Amino acid sequence: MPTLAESLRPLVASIRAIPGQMGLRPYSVAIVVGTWSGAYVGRESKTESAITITEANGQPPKVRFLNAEEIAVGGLQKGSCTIGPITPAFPGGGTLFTNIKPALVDGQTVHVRITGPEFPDGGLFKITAFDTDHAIHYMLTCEPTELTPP
Amino acid sequence: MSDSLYRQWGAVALPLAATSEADLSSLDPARDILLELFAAALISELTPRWANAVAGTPLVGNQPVQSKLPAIPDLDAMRQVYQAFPLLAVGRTDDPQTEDELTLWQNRITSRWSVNYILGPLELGNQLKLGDVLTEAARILSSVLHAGGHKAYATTTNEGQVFAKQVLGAGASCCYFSTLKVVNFMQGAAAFSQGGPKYHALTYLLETTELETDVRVGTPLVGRSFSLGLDGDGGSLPGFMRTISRGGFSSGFSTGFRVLGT
Repeated sequence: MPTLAESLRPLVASIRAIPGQMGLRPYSVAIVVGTWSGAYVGRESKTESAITITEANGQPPKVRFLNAEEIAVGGLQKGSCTIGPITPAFPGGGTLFTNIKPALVDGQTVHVRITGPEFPDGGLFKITAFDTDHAIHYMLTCEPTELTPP
Repeated sequence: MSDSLYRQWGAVALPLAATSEADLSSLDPARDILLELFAAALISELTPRWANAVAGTPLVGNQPVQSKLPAIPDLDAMRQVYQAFPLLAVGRTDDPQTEDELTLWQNRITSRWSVNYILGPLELGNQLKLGDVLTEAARILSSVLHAGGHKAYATTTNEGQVFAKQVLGAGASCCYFSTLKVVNFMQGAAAFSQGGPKYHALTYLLETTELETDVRVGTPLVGRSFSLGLDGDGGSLPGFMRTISRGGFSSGFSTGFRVLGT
């Protein structure tokens, strides 16, 4: 017997897809795991595997870049953003927590790749916080790693 | 390569040779040597007591050094890479490096290195169960530095006897340190960020010096002519004399100096 929260997830996933269907979600999001061929991280070459984070019908989640006050209060870097709400997994959809925080082996790296108007080739962000204390959404807070400030 | 510098700092000489390596880590080989040396020593020395001690703790099934990081393990790094505990990390610190004159012709660079041996986050019982390994790890690192190597890392044979290879000074696959000293070390609870989770760790601070030396390979002088003087355009004479006095002449080399200045 599913709980109320579990029953709501398919509905909220569909609702969260509406802005994307209307073209209001310009950024796509993927969790990228990097594996290095050398002895340590950063040695030799990197191969990447990516898991795209979507709401219903393959629509991207909300990406919101934080304003100066939020960055200052949060002690974050310029260019930081939040990603979500991301609907947790349910039968037939949603996102497993292990997809946004994948199990890694030694020396593997994990980043969020955000692709959109400001990062047409995809910008890599590091995850600074997971917000997982809500039954019907996850949130990520991310900081840029390779971006040149405007 | 004729327009390159012909100098060597520590283990790395200019001009750089082309390699098939896909990264630039070989430009500072001392870091990887220290990392592998310390890891081999800690694993070798601690293994006899390790497996039984870590039973029932989060470190069960792991070696005394389960993962290695050739960098300072700060918050930024640890957010981007997964490293199993215990983690051993070695890197030059963010402290300014200094360069000064050792002799009239030889400069040296002084660097500081941070060696971090991190057990990970542990509850009180496991802290008390395993925490003394940090004290012992510091003693092992000190002994390795005094010995200049460890058999578990590399060996050399002399008269049939096997010795630990001395890897801190000059030589093939060595650090090329001129001097090395332990500045300080401390162990206890540490955090990657203010207010962050407590990790139980040993931090060991080293200071090294690396010398600048000539590389005895340069542009051949055979078949070339030079106009040298004592000042102005000829100000290169002292340097030239130093070069030929160090390098010597090959057979058949003849010189004809014409002094342009007085």
